[in-house]
Amino acid sequence: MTIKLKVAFCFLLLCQISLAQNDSINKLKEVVVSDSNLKNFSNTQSIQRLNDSIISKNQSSLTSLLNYNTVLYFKENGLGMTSAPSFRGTTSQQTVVVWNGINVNSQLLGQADFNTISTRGFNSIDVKAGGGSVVYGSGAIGGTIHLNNDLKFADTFKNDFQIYYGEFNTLSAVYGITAGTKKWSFDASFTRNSSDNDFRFVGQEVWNKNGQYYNNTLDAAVGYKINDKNSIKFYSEIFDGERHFSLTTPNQTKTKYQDYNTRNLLTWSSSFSKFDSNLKLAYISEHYNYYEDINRDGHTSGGVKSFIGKYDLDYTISSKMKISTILDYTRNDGNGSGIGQSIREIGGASLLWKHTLTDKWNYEMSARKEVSDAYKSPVLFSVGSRYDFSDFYKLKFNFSRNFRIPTFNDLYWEGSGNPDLKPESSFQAEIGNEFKYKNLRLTITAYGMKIKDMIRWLPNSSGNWIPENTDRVTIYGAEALLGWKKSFNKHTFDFNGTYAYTVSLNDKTDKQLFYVPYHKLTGSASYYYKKLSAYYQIMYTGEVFTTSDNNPKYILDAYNVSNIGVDYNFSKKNIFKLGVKAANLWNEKYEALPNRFMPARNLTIYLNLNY
Amino acid sequence: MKLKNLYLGIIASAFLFASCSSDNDDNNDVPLGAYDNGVIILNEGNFLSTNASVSYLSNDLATFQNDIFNVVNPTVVLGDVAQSLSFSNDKAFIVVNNSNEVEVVNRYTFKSLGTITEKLENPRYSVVLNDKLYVTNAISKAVTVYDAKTYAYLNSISLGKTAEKIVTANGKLYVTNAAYGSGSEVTVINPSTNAVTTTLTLENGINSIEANNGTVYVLAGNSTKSKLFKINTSTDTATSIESTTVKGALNMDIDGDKIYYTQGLGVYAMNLSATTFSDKALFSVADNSWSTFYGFGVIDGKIYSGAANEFTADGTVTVYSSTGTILKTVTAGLGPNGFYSNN
Repeated sequence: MTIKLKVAFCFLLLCQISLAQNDSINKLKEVVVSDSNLKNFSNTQSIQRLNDSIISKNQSSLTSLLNYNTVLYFKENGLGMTSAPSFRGTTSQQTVVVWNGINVNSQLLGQADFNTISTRGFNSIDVKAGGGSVVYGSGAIGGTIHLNNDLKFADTFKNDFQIYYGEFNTLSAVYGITAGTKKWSFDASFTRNSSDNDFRFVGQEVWNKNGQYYNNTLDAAVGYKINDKNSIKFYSEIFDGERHFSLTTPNQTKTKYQDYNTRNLLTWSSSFSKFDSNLKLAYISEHYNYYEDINRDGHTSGGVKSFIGKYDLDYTISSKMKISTILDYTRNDGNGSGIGQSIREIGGASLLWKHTLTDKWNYEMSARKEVSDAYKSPVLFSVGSRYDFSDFYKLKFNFSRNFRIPTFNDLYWEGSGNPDLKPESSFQAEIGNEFKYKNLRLTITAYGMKIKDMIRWLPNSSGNWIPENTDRVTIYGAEALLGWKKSFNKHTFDFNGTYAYTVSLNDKTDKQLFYVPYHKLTGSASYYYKKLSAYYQIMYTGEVFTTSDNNPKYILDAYNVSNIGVDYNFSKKNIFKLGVKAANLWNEKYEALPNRFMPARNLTIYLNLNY
Repeated sequence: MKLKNLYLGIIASAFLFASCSSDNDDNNDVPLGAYDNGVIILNEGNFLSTNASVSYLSNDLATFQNDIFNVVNPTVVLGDVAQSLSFSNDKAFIVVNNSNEVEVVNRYTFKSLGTITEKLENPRYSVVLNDKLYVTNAISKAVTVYDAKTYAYLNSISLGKTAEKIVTANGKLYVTNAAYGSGSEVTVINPSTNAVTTTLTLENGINSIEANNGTVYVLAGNSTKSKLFKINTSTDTATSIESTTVKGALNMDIDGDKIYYTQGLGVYAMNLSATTFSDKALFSVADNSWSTFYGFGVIDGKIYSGAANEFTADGTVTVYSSTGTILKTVTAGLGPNGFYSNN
């Protein structure tokens, strides 16, 4: 372990690996992004873009993609099972998944399950660190993960087919079609993932039992430019999956869980004189069935249907000043075991201001207030500034207040729900330093935050579990993102790395929050020669405490996992790529959570076609 | 009981060892050899983790050891949620709820003797009668029956309703049909026919049952009252006393001629023959940790509380005198839920 770790550090620091994945946000003018606020009002924070070539090199789950390429730490209950992140030392409910500009965290749980999101249907995935509640609402404290279906208005017609097949009968297949003219754009894909997931634990005669899963995802995006000033876009996603939950003891009762989620978004973008407007109507549904014994019929179920209306009006005062307002309305309609029938309504208004003072200096300010029938909401704000000292060095600063509202379960669970809960709220600040020298990019961000009224379910003296606003937490840390790319002759080298140091303390006990590692590091190196490409990935996660008193008896050991892959493109003009990759190359024995062993070295072969 | 003598020497040396080392948190990992003349503490562990454990505290409170199952049986995993324990002769049957297992150990040495798995579906509590082990199961809503000597599965008694705590009196089995604060029935089973003979409807919120001198005592507590039932096991009819001032009483445990129970943070006691509830607490505990009485028991006049510490850290076991003086505080395992006198 220690030797491998040293190798990892050497690999990252001496070899000057790097980050700042592709900085090509909207390199092409004809590409229309689904979330204009991410582009317009996030200049003072750190955004890491994972483009489609990075997406295709990783496993199809959002957990795997982010685990190997970003500073996020994942609490994964075994491969493919429920998975939740910790971003900047925060809780699972303090990271938001944003689908084409819409917050799609579960209304029941307040968090997203990163193993129910398939990455290959998206053109790009952005990871924005830090607060974002003014624009993205509840939960945007640790950061936001943006899933983007960007539409391209240009004459094009492409078919894309990717198939990956690996050990444990693991299949991932995606078929996508992209078609467009100057007026129309269409992008759709269908993804299927499945696995028997019956791997043997490293060094033990024990197999992962009852871990099989499958999921299907249909993604579609259509855009139509009515004229120069008006366009309409429609995005849709359907996810249907079933997972058996793997056993932690051999005779445990077998359980399974089904998810059915739909997301639909209609947007009308319009510009007139100095105004740009964006009307968004979204209808989102989540539904689950849980079978506590797969041999019996009985199951519990629940779901929430949400309607979201959002109107975004930008006024460009001058080339240097821009003001924007967002008005929105959300209605959540929940129904299910434990919560009965419950409805929650939220109205919100945001004001955003962006001012470029000089060529080198700009600042942004924004504020938001929500009104709801279910909870009292603080005024949220964000202020930030950016100064470009030179091409070599840029300095960013951001200060914000963010929140996380109580979930449906927190508020309405029969016999336990607590209608008096306040939202969790945070004050947070960060300073970002961006260095760029030739092909090298380095971003170092230091941050600190205070979170209060953390909601936690606690057993009371009569043995009943009730959610309460209890803890206060102080978090500080630093992140480094490094990127380096170099080409000569027909060789190209590309290095990316991330490192996070995180201290997340409970104010009452001064102990590190459990399931927050002090250290996490990722690195990837790619090499391209003509039509050959090879890549190596590494992920190091430091030890984590699993108890609130940081008892060393229950520490989960650090782990260091590497993957390697190689592929060759046989086509002259298009893509006909055959490849092979090995996950967990060094056969690391590791658990992401207690009793949740992960697979040993395993192979996947793949074929990518694009015509 | 003869086994005890075999280990006397080892006990003596263990006591010596314990007395010259720290006597609480710093456990040695050497088996004490004998785990009688003390209290077995069951630590259920976290749901979906295999960190259930067993601790031992001697009657004189001088010797304490955590993880005794693991220390004695390093290659056997106790499992996921150790729910309850029952004794029979020289054996202890540990019901491991989410593992669907009953671990059988020698109650004095804690050596593993075997594991019962057949037909267990979320097992909860157990009792032995006439060399048969009866186990309640939450998912199958049935009582499953095993040979207490060979551990062979014999048959199942289907109840079709919640099957939780089980006791035996007057040659019969009494099963509470109540869990997590709701349920009002007790089912009576005749073990010679494995048939339900009668079902008693008592009061909603049954949480405790205990057999004492041929009488079965049942405590129910809810948001309006607490009610104590005494079931005459010859006729299977119940008489009761109730209180509307002491609401939601929990954790009934009979010790000597007293019935102990808790309400909120208070510990109460009344005589077996009491005609009214006692509404004056013997003492109250500080609310410095959630679920202070996650585990509760009274043994030889001493009151044992197991605080679960939110299940995010090892639990705290505190031993009180009958007036509330703290006699001993130790850090046990995760979620201490029960105390079993092992003499």
